[in-house]
Amino acid sequence: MDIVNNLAQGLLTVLTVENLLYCLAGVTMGTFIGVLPGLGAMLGIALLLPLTFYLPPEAAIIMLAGIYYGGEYGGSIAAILINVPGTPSSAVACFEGYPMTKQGRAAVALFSSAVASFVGGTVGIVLMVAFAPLIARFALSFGSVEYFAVMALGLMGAVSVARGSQLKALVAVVFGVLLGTVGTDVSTGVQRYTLGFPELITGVSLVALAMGIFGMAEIISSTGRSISGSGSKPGIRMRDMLPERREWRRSAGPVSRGTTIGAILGALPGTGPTIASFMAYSLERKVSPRSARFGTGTIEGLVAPEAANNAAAQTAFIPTLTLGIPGTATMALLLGALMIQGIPPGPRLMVDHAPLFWALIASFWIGNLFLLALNIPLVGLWARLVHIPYRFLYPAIICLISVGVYSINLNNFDVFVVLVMGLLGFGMRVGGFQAAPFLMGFILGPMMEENLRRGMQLARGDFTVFLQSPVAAACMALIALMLVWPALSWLRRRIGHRTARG
Amino acid sequence: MKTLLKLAALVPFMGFAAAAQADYPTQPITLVVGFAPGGGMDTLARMAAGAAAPHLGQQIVVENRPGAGGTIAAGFAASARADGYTLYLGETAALTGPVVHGNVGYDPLTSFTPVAQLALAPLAIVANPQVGINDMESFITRVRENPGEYFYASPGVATLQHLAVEQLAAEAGLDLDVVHFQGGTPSVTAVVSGETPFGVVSLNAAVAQAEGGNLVVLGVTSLERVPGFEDIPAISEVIEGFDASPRMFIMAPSGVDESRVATLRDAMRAVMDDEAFRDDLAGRGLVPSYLDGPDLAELLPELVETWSATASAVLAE
Amino acid sequence: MSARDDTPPHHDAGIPPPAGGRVMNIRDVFAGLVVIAISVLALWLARDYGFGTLRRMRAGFFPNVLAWAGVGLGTLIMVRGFLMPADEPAHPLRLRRLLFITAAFATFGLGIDPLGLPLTVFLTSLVGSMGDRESQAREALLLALGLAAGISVLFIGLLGLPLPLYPGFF
Repeated sequence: MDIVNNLAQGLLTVLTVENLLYCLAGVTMGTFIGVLPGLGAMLGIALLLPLTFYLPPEAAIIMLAGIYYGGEYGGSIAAILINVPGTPSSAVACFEGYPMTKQGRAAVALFSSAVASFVGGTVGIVLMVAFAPLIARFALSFGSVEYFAVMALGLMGAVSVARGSQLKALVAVVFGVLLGTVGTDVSTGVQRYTLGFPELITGVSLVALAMGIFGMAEIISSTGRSISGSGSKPGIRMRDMLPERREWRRSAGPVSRGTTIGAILGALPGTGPTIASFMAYSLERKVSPRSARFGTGTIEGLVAPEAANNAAAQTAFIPTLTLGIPGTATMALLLGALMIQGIPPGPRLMVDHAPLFWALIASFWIGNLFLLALNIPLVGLWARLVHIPYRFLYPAIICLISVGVYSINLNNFDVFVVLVMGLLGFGMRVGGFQAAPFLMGFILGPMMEENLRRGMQLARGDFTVFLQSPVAAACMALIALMLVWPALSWLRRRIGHRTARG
Repeated sequence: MKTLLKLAALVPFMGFAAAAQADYPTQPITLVVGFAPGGGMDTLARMAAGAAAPHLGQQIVVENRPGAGGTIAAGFAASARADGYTLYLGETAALTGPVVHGNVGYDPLTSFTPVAQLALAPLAIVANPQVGINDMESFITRVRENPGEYFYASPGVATLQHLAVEQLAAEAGLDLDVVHFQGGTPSVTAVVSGETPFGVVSLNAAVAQAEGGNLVVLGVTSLERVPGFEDIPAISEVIEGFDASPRMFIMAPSGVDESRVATLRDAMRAVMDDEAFRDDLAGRGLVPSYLDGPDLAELLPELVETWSATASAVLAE
Repeated sequence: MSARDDTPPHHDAGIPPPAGGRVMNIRDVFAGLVVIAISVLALWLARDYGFGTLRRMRAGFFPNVLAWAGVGLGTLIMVRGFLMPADEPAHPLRLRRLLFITAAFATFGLGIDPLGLPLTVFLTSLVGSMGDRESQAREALLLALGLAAGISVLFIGLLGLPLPLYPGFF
């Protein structure tokens, strides 16, 4: 009952005209910054941080949090419409969302992404309210061994994400992990593959990589008059944005699985929305009965990661607020904002500043509601974008990608990273290699390596640690199953074949 | 909106500009920071920029150029035009840059003219509560009795945290194993969750976690106890003379006109004389510690040598 | 699959049939070669990183294992390319696009620091437009002007990012 009381109290705090306006301003600004390639929630928060000096703590944190999840949502819009992921976590939306746009179904993709995000976000909030301390304790039980197991499982899934040749998918994953090793080795400090560039000491920028491999490669590839084929009309009616009835039905499972994955991975310090959305996609690809059609614009592959992304964006607040341990760089920024307001982040925050905590939680839900309300009317407007003749659109995309990437570090090196990655991405297309497993290898690989090596070091070389922890053992069992399964089913087919012939 | 704010901020200082030396500064000064917005260094930069502006009669614009542990910004500032309009806010890690990262495009001793040291950012040695160690003496005894048994979490190879503990281990004759994590947060998490028994974290984070009973603070790396946190002993009380606190300072590219450097030094002295500013620093886990440019310049060779020697030693392993 | 099983295999002493033959997949042979080349480069660059042991891996462990995997997989792709026909249509090369879009990004990268934002965006857009055959000079010029103005207002004016506005030599 305490929770209900607290939450009601929180809602009362948020439901002042002033705070509602700050929340609306936050999510609106977050959405637009998220849409712009390269500029993520992190930059949005950093830009507005000085402004919050002059606001009361509740208003400040409500607005900044709004930018955060608004940005997570906005990133998907650009990914779906022009294949340029606005934020790294929305790169997954390129896989299925952009093919949908190319089929003239941009409005449906945007609409279902908004609804899936809302569902994921809402469930994330409910989990947070009900189980925050429990989830926090679970998150702390994740050590190097568990992280390694989860990452290895994710990488196994990455291979299965690809269409077509599994051999080439494997190459893509391997090269993704290899590219992920660029930079300073965490365990030894050795600089790997930096080629003398100081900019590479911290590794290849994920944002620049995603911009190149999706955005630039797509610009080179597509030559149509506009992104959506000439078939559909520019006018968007409500009917055009609603998914078909069977698509609703097919989405229920993916959304709930995506939400679950997002809620769990979001709460772990060290994973967060990007990994959550990739994992959700690869799980869906694994379990969906229509997995063969993934990559051609299937709604399941769009809504699962969208739900995961937003659920994770919410549960990422759990370690931040209950333990004072920010899971992502953006969360660290938000903690910084609290400090500026004179509120020391830490395990005591929830107790010492209960009203603020609950007001923040309440604002999350209101903010998600605003996002839904804001985005459904905007769907028509956004979807019109894809009818602009491509010869006008693509120079604009080139400029936006460049400015966005440049403004992150004020360094033109990142623009050249986009260029090189774009050429690589285009070369991969020509050679028949998929971008999805490559990107997953890049994201999951470094964490897998780091945690494997650390796990081995902490266990003083004892391999059995990877079987002693329940989480790790479960992951290892799944990996073994995934390895054995294709062989088994091949055998079964073979036997079936023979008996049919014989 | 932002531009409007900037303009509004400029207006009150127009009068000062005329009063100050006419030739410098006549345009906004850029303060380059090697870390992303929102972090500790960025906050310090913005505070210092805001406080120094009235004394200089010009706005100071903070420019974030993150990357390679802050050394990209240092290299950028070192090669900037030496006209006094580009300054660099650095910390001790910038001094080890050439040793740790190789070709960074600057030499910590010759590329810059020190303007002033602003603050110290003391580190804390912490333990997981389950370990059952509550002070520095028993920490040292326990580790000495079990050489090579214990791990401590470091936020990365050759970070100041790593180097500080290695210096401590060398001076106290400890055989501790280091485990590296990717940055400060994961290393705090490792100690809180008990994955490693010990760790080295910023005083700020240590105090916040200790209040919740998640960590035990064993000691701070500054020479003396930190004002406001007098209940936490300094390591030097056990290991005499131990001092390994990261320092934060403002530097100008070398070659800036002597009188301009003097103007900047006067401004920073005035800022650091301000009681409210010092309190503000202390509230963020920093220790206000002013050193005038020449004093800092005198200290730098020794700092570069000590830290770089430790860094080379750990990298050679 | 089963239909392909019926066609007799071309194992004429390992020599692929002449180009245009239906069996060899030149794209995959080439792709395999590129994969092997990149892997070998990665191996060479990683020669000094230190391998370590399974218990205590050094910095070179992962790069070496991955690069060797790349060599193996690349060989498999190449061999398969010799033996099997293409299973999907090849992606066209689009040289004009490739050239001008690469040039556009390079223009931005090289231009932004010396030229400032508006001028760089203007040039980038112009170079980019040349990648499309249907572009007309007047349209491209107007687009470039509009983008230069719009992007400058958005990023410098509204978002307040510290991007250079004028060319540095002014």
